[in-house]
Amino acid sequence: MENNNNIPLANRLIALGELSSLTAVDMPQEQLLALFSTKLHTLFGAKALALWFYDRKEKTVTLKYSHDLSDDLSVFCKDAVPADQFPEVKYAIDSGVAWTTEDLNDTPLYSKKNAKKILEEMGVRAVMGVPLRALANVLGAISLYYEKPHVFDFDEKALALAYANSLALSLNNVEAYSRLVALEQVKNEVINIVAHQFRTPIATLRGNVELLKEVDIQANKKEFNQIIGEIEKVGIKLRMFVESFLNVKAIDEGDLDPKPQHVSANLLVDQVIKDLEKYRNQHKVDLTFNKFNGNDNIFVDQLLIHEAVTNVVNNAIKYAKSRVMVKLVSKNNDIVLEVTDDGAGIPEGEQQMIFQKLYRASNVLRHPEASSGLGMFIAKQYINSNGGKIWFTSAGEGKGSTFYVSFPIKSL
Amino acid sequence: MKKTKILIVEDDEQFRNLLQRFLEATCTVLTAVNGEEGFALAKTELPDLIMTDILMPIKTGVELIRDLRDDKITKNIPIIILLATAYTQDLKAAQSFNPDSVLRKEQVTRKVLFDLIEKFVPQK
Repeated sequence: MENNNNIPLANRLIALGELSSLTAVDMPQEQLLALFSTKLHTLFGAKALALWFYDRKEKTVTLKYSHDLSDDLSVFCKDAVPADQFPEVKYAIDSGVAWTTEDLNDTPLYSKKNAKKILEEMGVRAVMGVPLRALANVLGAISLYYEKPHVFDFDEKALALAYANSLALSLNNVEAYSRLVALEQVKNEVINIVAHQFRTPIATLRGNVELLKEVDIQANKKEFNQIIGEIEKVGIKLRMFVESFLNVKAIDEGDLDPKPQHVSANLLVDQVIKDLEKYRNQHKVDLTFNKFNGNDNIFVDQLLIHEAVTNVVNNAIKYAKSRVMVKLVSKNNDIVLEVTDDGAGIPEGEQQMIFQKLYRASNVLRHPEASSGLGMFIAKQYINSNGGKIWFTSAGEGKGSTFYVSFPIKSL
Repeated sequence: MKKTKILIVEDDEQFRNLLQRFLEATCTVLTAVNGEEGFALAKTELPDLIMTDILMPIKTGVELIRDLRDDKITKNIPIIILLATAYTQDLKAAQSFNPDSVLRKEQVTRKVLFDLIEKFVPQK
């Protein structure tokens, strides 16, 4: 057997130095993979190269980048494959160091059960697997395939590992950059929401103070009281908005302390609908409520669940085209609230995010009505803290949605 | 002298009431809670000036301004945008229909309102 790589060590070190500088650059992932893979492929004299991303939970790998793989191997790796199909990948990931096979024919680790046949047909005899890891974070591995039996010396393995470490660090940094960008967007979104939600009430307060200064209190007590009434209403709006932010803070800090009691579900939902009557009229939305026929006792914290249900129904009215149907039904021994609207629906790709903080579906971002993006997040947390569940179905964009809330009927 | 007729289109009840209070002593004030109501009132009442919010349900201020400008009866009525949004896209969309003025809500005082009325409504 021979070491058939004639490329001087110095060349490989210089290239490594150049690639390492990329750890400080925000560059598309695809481009990073291409740059590193091409250098590894050529400077390490490999016939072919495969770069894998690892799924720790599933113990599978996905081919993310390659050079000169056979069509059969590419087809074999079309979807995620179990990591042990490629022993060099599995052992590199498990051991954290470069793992080599000098000759496929000399090891029982590659067998018909795994990719050996395809590798042989591709003309592969020797293999090096290098883990792709940034500190404790295992991202995947790189396979270098050689067409002749190959003796891997210590320097070669150490150097390949240094290339892989440098790439892993770059990938890690690119991800950190994108998280920073996302955080920046959230920050801007919060500023926009706060600016919008505060501007009108503050302008209203200011204007009413101007009016108050002009009123002759003795002569015009009625007008004075009317203006004070307006100021009080604006104060309530502002308080509610600030409270929704503070509620999120309480949720984040684990400060929710539900005090459950027996409550009539019919009465609770009825009250919510009454409270939202004016809002519903403003939106010209028809709302029907089918009460629960039977024992409608649920065991919940009335205040928290009232607010959660208000957020769910309010959301349905806000986004409905013309109608909302509210129903209380029995499902698997629970009482379940169903709220169906004929509105914008939720785009399929975003359905996972609906209960996240500050989330607003892309198709309603330009909705004329301001939303804090906190309502459904708060609803879910309140419902869960009471031992209930919330979920939804939506046939997709433009097809409306149904939200379901299940309530516990007795103490947890 | 005939009173100046002002149409206020604003979904926030308290802000709408405030504008009405500022103006009602000297102007005839009409109010609407969304663009749809606003457009219908504009066509029947032909106000001298329209003040409109942007973010409203059913029909937004942007859509209202577009429709007012498209309609031969209402196209020359001066329009003032009452701005609360922090989204610059909304303002740009509204500005593309050539409003006569944009007023940030927090700048609203009685004097500012009357200066604008004086500017856009020639005294009869």
